[in-house]
Amino acid sequence: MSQQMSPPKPGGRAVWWVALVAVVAAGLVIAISLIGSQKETTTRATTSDAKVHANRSLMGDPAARVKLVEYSDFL
Amino acid sequence: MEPQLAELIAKGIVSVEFRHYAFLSGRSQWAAEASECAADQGSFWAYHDLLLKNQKVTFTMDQLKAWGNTLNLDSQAFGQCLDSHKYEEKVKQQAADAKKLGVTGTPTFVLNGKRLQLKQDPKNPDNPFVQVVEMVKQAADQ
Repeated sequence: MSQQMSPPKPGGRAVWWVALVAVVAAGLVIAISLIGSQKETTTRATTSDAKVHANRSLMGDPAARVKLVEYSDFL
Repeated sequence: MEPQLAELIAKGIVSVEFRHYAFLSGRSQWAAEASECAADQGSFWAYHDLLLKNQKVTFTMDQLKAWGNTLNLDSQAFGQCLDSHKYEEKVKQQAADAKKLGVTGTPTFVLNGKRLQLKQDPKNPDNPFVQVVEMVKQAADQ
């Protein structure tokens, strides 16, 4: 038994276009919000870097009870 | 990094800080400054490892910049940092502080404010880290 598809009606086509526009718009909104959140992450990372800045060559917890300092020359 | 030391660092028991004592030549100074420029981009330790791995290579400005590229650092910012000698004073100040502490050679280790006196280890003549790790472990166990 076969079913024949009827040609799209003009009203149906309009609904299809509205749906397409909605999907594209939603995609744009998601993309913009993702870009926004990436910027926020970058800012957070920068802030976090600023915290570590004073001890950038320090590895580990600055409050660790055992503190090892190495004085060295790279040559 | 010695695995045992890395484990103590990961547990928050030990912190390790690198300070510059660039006294061997002007190129030592450049390398130290370059590591600080890498630190600007969160890559101090990666650059540190790279320098130590390539100690036999002549540290020219171009070479130091090229190593920045291998770490995917922002080459423009890294180059500007190096060319402007942004960290010249910091590196020199650390060396001056080291001298005040009585540091005369490298590497010198200070554990909880006390300079470690390392013995000549016939088993590991070129690797003072074995002794250092032992001392750090002892301090961590106390």
